[in-house]
Amino acid sequence: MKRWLLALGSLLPQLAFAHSPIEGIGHFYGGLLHPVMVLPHALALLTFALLVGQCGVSAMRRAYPPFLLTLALGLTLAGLEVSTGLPLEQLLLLSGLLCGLLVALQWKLPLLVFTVLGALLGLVIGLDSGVDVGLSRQQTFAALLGCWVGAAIALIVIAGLVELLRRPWQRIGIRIVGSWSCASTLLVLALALR
Amino acid sequence: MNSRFPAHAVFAGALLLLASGASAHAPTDIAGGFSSGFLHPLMGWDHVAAMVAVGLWGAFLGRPAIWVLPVVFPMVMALGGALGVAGIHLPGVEIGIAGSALVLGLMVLLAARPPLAIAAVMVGIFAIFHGHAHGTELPHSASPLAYSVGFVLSTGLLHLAGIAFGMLTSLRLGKPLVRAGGAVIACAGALFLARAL
Repeated sequence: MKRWLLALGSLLPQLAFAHSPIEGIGHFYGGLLHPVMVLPHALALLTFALLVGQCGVSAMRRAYPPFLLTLALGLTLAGLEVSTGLPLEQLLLLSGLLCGLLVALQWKLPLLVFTVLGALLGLVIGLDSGVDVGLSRQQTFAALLGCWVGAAIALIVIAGLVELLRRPWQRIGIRIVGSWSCASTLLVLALALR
Repeated sequence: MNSRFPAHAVFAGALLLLASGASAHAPTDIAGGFSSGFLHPLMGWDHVAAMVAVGLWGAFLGRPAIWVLPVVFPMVMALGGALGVAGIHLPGVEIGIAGSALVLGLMVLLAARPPLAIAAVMVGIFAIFHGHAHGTELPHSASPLAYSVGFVLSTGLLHLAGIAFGMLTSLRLGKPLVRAGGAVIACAGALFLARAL
């Protein structure tokens, strides 16, 4: 009988955690995970990182500074609850579609493209990362700082890994991931625009 | 203790708790959308047969078709899906899907090697039918983006499974085996087509 009760008791902690994978992890960590947990942000970041990594170190030099600057600007505006009225999620999907297509095509692009894309994507991700109403200034700052760090890490790590993949089959694998991302975002954009 | 809590009652209680634990994760938008999208191509034999056949044929066609197909097919399929999402009617979708398994299976069985452009156009036309069928399900999904990621990933993995099986053509006994796989797919396609008609 005791064994039955033990088995029953062992199930209870699992149930308690079942609904709260994010709750209680803190505002900074919540912000850190935000860019990779919110699907449109994650797809836009992934495809941009693939594109930058595919084109090498010179593309990274052009893409990172504007991305990080405009991301900080966008997050600040979001923290101040400034509304732009732009369809931010659709813009993120459009970015995912464009970058995914460019990755699949593997064209040699002018370096200015990375500067412009980086600046626009950073701003849109920042603006679309608003925090809950009712947080204190410190909590809001922690969440937004976490989001900035999370997006920066995601971009730099993925692009860095992609840049290391030089073998022909690895380059094909990157193109396949780009085309699959492009296909996924195309469908959702069609749904959003119908 | 035993008289107050009989073993079968405790066991029943444990099962009830397990059931609630399992369903606690199901309604979440992203997980639900992803799993329904991932399972959609796998649940229809006609889809599975055609996707695997594309991979097998790619292996027969050799480079660059073997890697061009998994890059191009999902994008063309997404175009078909966009037509479905937009509510644009495409006549004979079921016939097109069933016909794709038959035709692509025959291509593998006959080890056909047409020029890449012709093969790409054939596969592209079939991809639009498959995409249209998936696309009509998209608006009903809990999370459309997660659904589309799931179904593109699932379709791509089916291609890769076909390509992996098709790589057996490099072995001495591999070619007849892969062509036999094509024959099975063609037979299944004929059956699907008979049902669709």
